[in-house]
Amino acid sequence: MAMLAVRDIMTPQLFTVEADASAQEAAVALTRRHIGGAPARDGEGKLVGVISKSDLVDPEPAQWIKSEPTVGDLMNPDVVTVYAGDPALAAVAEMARRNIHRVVVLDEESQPIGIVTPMDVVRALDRGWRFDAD
Amino acid sequence: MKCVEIMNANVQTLSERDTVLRAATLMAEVGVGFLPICDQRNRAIGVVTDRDLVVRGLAKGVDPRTTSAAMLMTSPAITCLASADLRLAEELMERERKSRLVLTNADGTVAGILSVADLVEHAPKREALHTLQAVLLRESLGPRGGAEPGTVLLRDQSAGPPMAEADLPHSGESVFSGGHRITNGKTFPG
Repeated sequence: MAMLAVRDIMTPQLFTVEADASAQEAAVALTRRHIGGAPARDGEGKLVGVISKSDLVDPEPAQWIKSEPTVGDLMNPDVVTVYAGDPALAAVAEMARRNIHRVVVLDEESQPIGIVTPMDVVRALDRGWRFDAD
Repeated sequence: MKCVEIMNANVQTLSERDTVLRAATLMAEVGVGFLPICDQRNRAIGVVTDRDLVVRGLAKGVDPRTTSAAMLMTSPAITCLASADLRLAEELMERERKSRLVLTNADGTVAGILSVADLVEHAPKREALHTLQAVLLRESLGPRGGAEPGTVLLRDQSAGPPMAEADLPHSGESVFSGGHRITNGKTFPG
């Protein structure tokens, strides 16, 4: 069997939130879509971070946030990515190593085209797909 | 109000002997990334999440077909009596920093699951005000964030049924310049 690639298991769509959006707007958007987090983008569409619900409900937001916090204030500014053609295990390894819940998937031109979450991996397992190299 | 009034009683559980693969199958079937693992008397001995299967399992090279899901679980499970007052459950969630609790009958058997979302959605307003500090934000939002149907909820996204915006055009230039990972500050160089 050919190597299982990231593109085989990813969710081939990417919901993003604006980094300028308020934390409340982002919470609404994530709740509505039943997702736990999403990449954040700036006004030009560039990915500048990743926001999760747990970031949004942190009871002790940083002291320097004076006004209503935005996504940009609360997000993790690391955007961890893998390429669609990478082995699926690479996405798994990134989640484990960096202690994160979602990895952004890029195409050959380094454009974001999807996302991998633990549930994507679980669905792949359910389909009987093998992550190891055989 | 009691936990039992708003809990999800239709809960799927795993046994100690179920494999990681079985856990994945069940999670995929019911679309839930959280399963209690029970002993022979249906008492929860731990819980396993989709992330546990990935991070503690696959990433470590375990064989999902032969490894017991119980090897990857968080134990003990944080439990609360289903007959307890919601406020007790809220306090427990706050103290343990858990967004989901396993609810039990008096004999310790699993009765259901209570999530923060259940609290927010169902608890009467007055009680909801006491809901753990960590969910203040979600609490203030309610199931649809208090927004009117059809309201555009994000500046950059059109409204629509959940997950239907898939076409989700990620427009604009990419920040990716060939690197495998980007670490951005809030002032990402354009």
